[in-house]
Amino acid sequence: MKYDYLVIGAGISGLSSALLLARFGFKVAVVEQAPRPAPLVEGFVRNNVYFETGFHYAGGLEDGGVLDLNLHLLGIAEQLQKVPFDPKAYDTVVQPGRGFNFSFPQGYAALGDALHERFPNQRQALSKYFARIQQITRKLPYYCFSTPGESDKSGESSSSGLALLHEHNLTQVLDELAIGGELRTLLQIHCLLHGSLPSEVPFAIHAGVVDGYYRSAHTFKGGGRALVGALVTVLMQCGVDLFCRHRVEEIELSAAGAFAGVCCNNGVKLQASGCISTLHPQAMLKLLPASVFRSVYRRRLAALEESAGAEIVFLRCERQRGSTPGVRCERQRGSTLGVDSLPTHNFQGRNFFFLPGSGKAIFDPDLPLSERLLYLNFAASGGSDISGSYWEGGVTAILPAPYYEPGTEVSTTLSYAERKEQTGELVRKRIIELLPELGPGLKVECVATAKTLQRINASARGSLYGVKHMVGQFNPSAKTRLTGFFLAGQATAAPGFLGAITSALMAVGGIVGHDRVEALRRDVI
Amino acid sequence: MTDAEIISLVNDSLVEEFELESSTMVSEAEIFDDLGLDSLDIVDMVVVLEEALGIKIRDDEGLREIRTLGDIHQFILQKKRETEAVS
Repeated sequence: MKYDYLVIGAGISGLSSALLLARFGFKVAVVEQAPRPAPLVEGFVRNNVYFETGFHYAGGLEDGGVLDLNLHLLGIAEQLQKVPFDPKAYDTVVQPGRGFNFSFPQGYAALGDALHERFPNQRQALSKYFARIQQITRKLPYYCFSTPGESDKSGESSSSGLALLHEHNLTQVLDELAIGGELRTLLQIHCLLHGSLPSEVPFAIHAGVVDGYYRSAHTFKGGGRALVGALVTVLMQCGVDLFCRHRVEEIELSAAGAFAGVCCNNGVKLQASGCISTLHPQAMLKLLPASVFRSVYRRRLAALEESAGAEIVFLRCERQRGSTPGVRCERQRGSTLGVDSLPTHNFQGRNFFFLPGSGKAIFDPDLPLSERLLYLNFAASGGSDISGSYWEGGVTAILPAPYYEPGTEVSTTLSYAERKEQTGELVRKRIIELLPELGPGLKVECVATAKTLQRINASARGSLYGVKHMVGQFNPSAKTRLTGFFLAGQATAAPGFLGAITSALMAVGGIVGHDRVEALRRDVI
Repeated sequence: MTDAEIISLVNDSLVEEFELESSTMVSEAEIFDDLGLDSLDIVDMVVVLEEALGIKIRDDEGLREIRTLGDIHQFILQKKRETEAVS
């Protein structure tokens, strides 16, 4: 079967690329090595508990927000039910040793008020900081949805974007505005959402991530699993073929040297006149003869650095037989906890960032587990599969961790499984100390290490977001020298859910023309 | 480094990385039409020149105005002077 376009990789960027290509009338197939699409975002269910793996919450999902409009653009908005996070405290940052505690309310106005109240001396600097975020995001490709008549050449910019992406990192902007102390910590904390350090991340990229979260924070009913389900449903309706368990081993070229098709590990060959690869750029290089790209381009891709590594502990809350929960929380959902309530229910719609002790670097992956930054997310209960069975929401704990370096495992007396168990226990005990309300019913379900991330994320060293976005590091753009061959994925445009969709828009814009993609976006408004 | 040395370093780096003919490396050579580079090469060119000369290039305006090899030389000499003035 011959297709117009093949998309390699069924993550968010691949599924979005395929949907957009189908929207432009192309016959499209998606090729994915995993048994199911988007394994990173899909989460998993064990013993009737749903655990989020890659999708914890999203910014810009308010009606008319950047992500909301993108869901409409992709045609999946109708399929998804948005669930707002706590309006007064979607993210809570705590430094236990110092009694420092701040909760982010939703919306720039409320956040501004809360921060002004806490840091009255930095009022002006903060206003300037927010203004700079909103100013620079307007220049990001495919970020703002322009209204008809407004000239906007977002994707088409002839500029290489060097000044936008490589002028300032986050640290420089905070220094310039003389923002220090705890306020600086609060404005840096969301670096966890892109995996680059404040001293590395281009301010434009950081702004493009936090702008959405400063406006609103939501999840979907059914979480990441519902998101993937919606994408796949619409994909099928558009007639896109999805080949899972097909690992691309080689990219075939035509006699003229253009893209011609792919060979998979199971012997299947698929032909097409074009392709969007969402693979890790370094994995992509291995599928092509070296002569296709200039050596300087190959060297550039081979040297790309990875975003932060992490260890992730998945926990569930079990009912304690015969005990009264006795839960006391700042925020009660509904009335008192009934028989069916679990302590985790009170935390759903809230994330926690527990900081290392003072004087320690916030994102240091080498701190002991007891001190490292700890991010906690509580998946919403109430998702269900097609059989209609009810799921409890699990707890996801993410901690920065050293990268996985294949072949350089430190030999210890503990086996890999024992080390994982030890990590899980240490983190569990720390969580119970920090949030005693969760109580002894909190149990470790399983642990993902950087080695797990390397496999599931197909990232070189087990990072959270694949290739890092960093001032001075030139990530690849959508267009390549190989005719018909385009790149998408978090490495190209920006990290996260929105970054993945943006990368798809840029790749498809490269194929059909950015003016046609812009026209599609204008139709959404 | 003298200007002549810088120009020769720029030319040598471009010849090596973009597999160009030394004989085509004259100031009037149009980088797209005569040297056969295209817009996709611009970022790689920046990387090559940054590595060779130990400078940082973050200048969209300046890059956009480049048409000929001579423009590259002037652009780099200017950057080099700016870098030295700062240090």
